[in-house]
Amino acid sequence: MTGKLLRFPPAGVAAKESVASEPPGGSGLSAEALVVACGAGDSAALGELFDRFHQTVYRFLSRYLGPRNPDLDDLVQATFLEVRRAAPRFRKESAVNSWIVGIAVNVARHCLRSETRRRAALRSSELQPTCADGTPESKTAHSEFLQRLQQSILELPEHLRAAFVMCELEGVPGTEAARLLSVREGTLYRRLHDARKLIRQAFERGSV
Amino acid sequence: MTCPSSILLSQTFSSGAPGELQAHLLSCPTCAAQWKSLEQARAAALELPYVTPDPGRREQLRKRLLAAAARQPLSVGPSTRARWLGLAGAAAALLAVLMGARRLTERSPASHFRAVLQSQGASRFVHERTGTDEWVRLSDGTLSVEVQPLQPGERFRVLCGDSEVEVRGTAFTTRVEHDHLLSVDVQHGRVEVRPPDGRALLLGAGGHWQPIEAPGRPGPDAPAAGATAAPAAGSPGPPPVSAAARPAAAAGRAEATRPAGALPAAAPAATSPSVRLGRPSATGPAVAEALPVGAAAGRPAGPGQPGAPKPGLAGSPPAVAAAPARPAAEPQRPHGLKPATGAGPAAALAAASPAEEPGRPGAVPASGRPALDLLPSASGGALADPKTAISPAERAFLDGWTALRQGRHQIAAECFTRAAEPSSGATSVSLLEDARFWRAVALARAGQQPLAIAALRDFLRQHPRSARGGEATVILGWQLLREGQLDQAQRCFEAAASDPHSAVRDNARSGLTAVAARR
Repeated sequence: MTGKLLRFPPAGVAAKESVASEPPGGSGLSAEALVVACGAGDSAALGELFDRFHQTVYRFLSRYLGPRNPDLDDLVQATFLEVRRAAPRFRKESAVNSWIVGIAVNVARHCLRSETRRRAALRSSELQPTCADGTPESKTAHSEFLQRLQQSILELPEHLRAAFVMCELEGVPGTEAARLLSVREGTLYRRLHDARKLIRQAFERGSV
Repeated sequence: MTCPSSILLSQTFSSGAPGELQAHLLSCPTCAAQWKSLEQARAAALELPYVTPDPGRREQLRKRLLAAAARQPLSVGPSTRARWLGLAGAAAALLAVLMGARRLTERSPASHFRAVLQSQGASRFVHERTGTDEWVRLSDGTLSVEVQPLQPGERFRVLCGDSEVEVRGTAFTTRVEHDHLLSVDVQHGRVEVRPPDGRALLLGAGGHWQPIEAPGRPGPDAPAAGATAAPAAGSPGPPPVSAAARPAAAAGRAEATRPAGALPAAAPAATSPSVRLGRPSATGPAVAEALPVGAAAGRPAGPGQPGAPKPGLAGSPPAVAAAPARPAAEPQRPHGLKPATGAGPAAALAAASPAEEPGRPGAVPASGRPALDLLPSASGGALADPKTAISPAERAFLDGWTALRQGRHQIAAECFTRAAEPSSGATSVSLLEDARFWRAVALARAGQQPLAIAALRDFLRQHPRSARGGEATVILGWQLLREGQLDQAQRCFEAAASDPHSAVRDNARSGLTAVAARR
């Protein structure tokens, strides 16, 4: 069970994940068995899936939508409700972790679409903020660098960002990510490449 | 080994470098530098902060999740065979609906689905509804769709691959092959097509869409790639043909062929307006009838009603107080109209219009481009039946949109004003609401702050329970701030800070920061 969970995340992430994936008092069931039970209507299984994977979902969504996104809790909840709904269709073609991340992508995308429209309506009427969110002088160069990186990721087009966060940050293998995003593997790698290029260009332009 | 391309290097970086590449990296400084830069970027990205919920937050969410799951009964998945049998049963039920249940659905507005689907030949699709959002995911085949006029907050979409078609109260046919949208034909009402390239296109009654690369039907008005419109009147080339002037096709339906390639590439999806008008007033009073009592146009909420102003905000614009008081249970109306940016990217709709009709009532004067000739005129020959006629109010509204997208804000405001006038024939509350809202936005963009403020207040007064209430309140706040009315601006932002939509809340917080900075 844990072997599968630990299979894809990058080394640093996997260590944290292994702690979360085996909470004290867990049923001892494999993640796959929990998904099957969840699909059969077992709410305790849903609770245990949440216990094991909520950190993964939080981490993914906060990287995909930004850590300050105010709807994060709602989206995590929506993701697990969707997990429950989709559980009967889980075919074990990918690791449970990747599968849940794939669901979180779709939930986040749905959120982005509606929010983008709303924000655009507001953007045109507002004054340009003079110092809102300005970087305090006390911040270190490194934290500024990270902020710029965060911003450049958030400014990526949705499809590129999904590929980048899934593969680069969450460590989902390309084959699985391609299947979860319903694209060919070549397309996924092209998106990943484009995302990296755009991030680099954003840095070179100094626009972030 | 020769140096791999950057994309191949990027791919191998993700999937793991084979031995051959590892050897190459040791000997090639250029590739090694690229590889190192990829590693550094990944390492930096992994340092980015992410949210780890504290135990209290985690427990709270866990309880919420389980409570929500308990409220939503799970339909336990049957075996594949049983699912197919179920689908066959559903298809039979659908057929029954198509054959005679239309009247029944009209009698029961609370029926589950708003759309009636008719498959033309074999097709694969899934029809689902979640809350107020109903959609059909069409993988293959041709579907005819008849959508009842939607109530505020309801959406209906046809999704296929990367494309999306969104409607309000209409009938249309859409064809998809292997998840690629091949065509859309509108029988009546309005449909917005969002092809994969993100260039949204509005189709009116009789309108047709197909991708430019699809064989056949190039259309007399198909411009060269990158062109913004068909040849102007008097210029050489095929004569412009408006939708209304075209003879009916063999099927008895006139076509306004609009290849997607005719659109300019300047309108990003996030900023392109999507005009989702209700069914023309001649046939569709259902929207107005379906609204709750307090939501009727021109009827502000009474003191005892949910939209009534809060006493604590007396003295502020009444609507400002009304905005946060909207009941949580009120269905959220989707953004029927996506805004254009202030920069005004080239208007997809106007740029795609085939020909100018100088004499057409309601046309935007002095425009370099025609306005929405996709739509038949109200008196339009082959399309003049009551179901497809477009009212002057709708025409004015669409002209307003065209102007707004072209950055001609003053003209847009005038058009929206016309659309909102009682004499324009706008009987649809949703149209009136949209026209009033976008009139205010156009005035704000035109830099006419006093008029914009008055228009926003009027909008909020007339539609106290509008789902756009929060947005209008925030926009009003910014206009007041520009005018230096800090107290009132602050009240607006405070009122909008509790809006259900996070974008509105964020904007309101920015507004409060700006007010504080001004003070």
